[in-house]
Amino acid sequence: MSRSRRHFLRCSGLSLLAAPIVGPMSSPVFRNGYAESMSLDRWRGRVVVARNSGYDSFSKNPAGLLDQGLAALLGTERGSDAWRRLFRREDVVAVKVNALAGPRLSPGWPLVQAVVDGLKTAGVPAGQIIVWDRSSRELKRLGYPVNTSGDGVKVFGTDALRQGYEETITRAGSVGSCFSRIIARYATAVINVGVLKDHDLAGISVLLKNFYGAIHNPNKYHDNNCSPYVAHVNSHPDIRQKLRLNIVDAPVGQYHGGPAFNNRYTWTFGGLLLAVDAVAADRVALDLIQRQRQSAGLRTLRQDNRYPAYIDVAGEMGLGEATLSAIRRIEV
Amino acid sequence: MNSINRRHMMRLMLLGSGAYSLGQDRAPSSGSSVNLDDLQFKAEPSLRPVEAMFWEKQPQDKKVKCTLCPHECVVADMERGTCGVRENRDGTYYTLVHSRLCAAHLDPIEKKPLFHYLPGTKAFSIATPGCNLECKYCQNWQISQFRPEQIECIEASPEVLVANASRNAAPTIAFTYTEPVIFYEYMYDIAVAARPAGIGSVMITSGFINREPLRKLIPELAAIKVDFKGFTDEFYRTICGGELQPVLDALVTIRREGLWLELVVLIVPTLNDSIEENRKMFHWIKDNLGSHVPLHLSRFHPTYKLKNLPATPVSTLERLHSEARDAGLNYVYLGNVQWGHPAENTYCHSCGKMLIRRYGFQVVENHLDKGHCPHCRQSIPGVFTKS
Repeated sequence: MSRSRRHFLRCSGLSLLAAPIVGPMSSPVFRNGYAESMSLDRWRGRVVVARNSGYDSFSKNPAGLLDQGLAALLGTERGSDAWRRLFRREDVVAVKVNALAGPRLSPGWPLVQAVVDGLKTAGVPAGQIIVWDRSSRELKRLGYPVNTSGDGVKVFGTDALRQGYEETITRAGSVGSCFSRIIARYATAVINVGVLKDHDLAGISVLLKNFYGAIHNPNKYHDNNCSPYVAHVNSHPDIRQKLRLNIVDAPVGQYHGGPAFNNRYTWTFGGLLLAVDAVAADRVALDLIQRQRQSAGLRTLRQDNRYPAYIDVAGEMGLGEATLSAIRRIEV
Repeated sequence: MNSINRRHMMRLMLLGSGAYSLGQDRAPSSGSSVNLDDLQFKAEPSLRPVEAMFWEKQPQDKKVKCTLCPHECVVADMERGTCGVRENRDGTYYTLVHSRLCAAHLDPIEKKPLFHYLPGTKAFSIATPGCNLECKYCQNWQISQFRPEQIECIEASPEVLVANASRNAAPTIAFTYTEPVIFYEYMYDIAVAARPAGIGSVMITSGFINREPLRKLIPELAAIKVDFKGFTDEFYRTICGGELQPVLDALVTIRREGLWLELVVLIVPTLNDSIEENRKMFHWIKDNLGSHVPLHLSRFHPTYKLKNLPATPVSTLERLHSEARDAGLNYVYLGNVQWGHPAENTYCHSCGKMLIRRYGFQVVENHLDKGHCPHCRQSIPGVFTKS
């Protein structure tokens, strides 16, 4: 591939813009470059908790819960209107799921299918949707229909690509990683689909930490309860500027013993968390997990020396709202 | 892959230390100019599976039982064992880390530590991701406590590794950093390939392995170092996620098979530093493994999940050193202490004269004469000449 001088200069200039990111962000986090007329700052600190007694680990059918919650989040009459406000038909949408949690905790395929249907209502063709995580094997293990060709929704892991990760390491604060090309090159928009669970090192692993699945070296960033690293990964422009919607799939939650599934510490939550602001959603998830721990007579995560301080760091960096009292929780 | 070129090897050696060179920062793409139908995919998935050794089919639901280590995980289809690197695929058990290197370094053999095995030589030291224990103080937790797909690895066949060790004039390949038991098949194949090249293989392990695989492996090894975690089952269960008895059994097996053995005990303040407990351990070692087995008492430093404890006081280690000597152990060393400490040196157990003087991992003086004390001609236990 040849590159013109203009192209080179443009790239060099852009590189300067992507200088190390530390401290508070100088610009609003929700500058996604889509639907310019819509100020996404208004969704800051807004989290929908959509629950339905029928949505449990046995019946993982989200039915209308997703659309209902999304309409409540964006204040639209119908879910389809909300999808259209968030996505355009030109978008290539990367749906990042947490496949590492395993079949009993990871987002169920019915929910992912509902997300895909929602995107279609916004006009996004199925062929421009990639459902992904680190490896195809893990997706397959969840029962997802792995697909790398054809007109349908693409479902595959970064490892399936001949060149899965970028060749050079980019910095995001204290993190230096190669990002998955799915998010770095192919996607124009990202949906993060996490789970509601405890993590023995990170405290919790819900939405913000799910993007450890987008870098080639997550093992390097688990020290100090993953703080500030999780926040720094999320400050990377490829995430910060493309992330449009966050969904926590929680028919069940796990309040202790994570990250692997441990039935002893799960509870039926029967719902979804929805937010444009991932920091706020993580903060609400932390509150839910802490309450469940309290009910079970367990120590708080802070007492357990694994408080997820990265949520607070993300708040300080301007990535979202980390103060619980400042978050508007909308129950559906 | 048939060979590792120099650039590749340099990159690999940096993996273990995390010392990447940073590329230029890149701005995010503003939009996709890629037609997703043009994406290029690998012909083979990563984590190429190799059928595992030591497992049994179970009667129901395509389950398998792993018999490699004392966990003896019964694993359902599509699931993995405790180690996270062995997976049941449609009723057959596979290892996912054969030929997948996450670390490779040329280390002094003293760093393992092996003090009575070819002192002053280098060991081509390698690891794959994963472990069958979860020690709360693991120094290498960033590679041992993650699944192989979470860690950047390169593919290197046993033959390639042996060629690289040979090119680097390393008389030894060391399986280390993580727990080699979990990459048993890879280790075994390397050890078999290394022997004709005149390269010995050493395993740096926790010794949490079943008898049959251990006995099959021993003839292929030149030495073994076991991290003896402590002397109570409670310590093994609560701090390491293992059990004591299988480790004791493994140590006795190694001794009986005649493989050169050294031991390390990491002394952790308040958890396994009691004089009484260690005294029992020293006597058990003497009674079951003999008085000549080198014992390295090592200093704990706060890390991973044990950051609330201080580093072990050197005085504690020195006290335990005396206790071990009093218990009748002839070769007791201190590790992770200030370099130049007298307990880094080797002294003849017969006449007490210094035989090897060390400074950290460096051998400064070696007075051994074909494995004998030059002063009293006492034969010194160990492997001092390349076979």
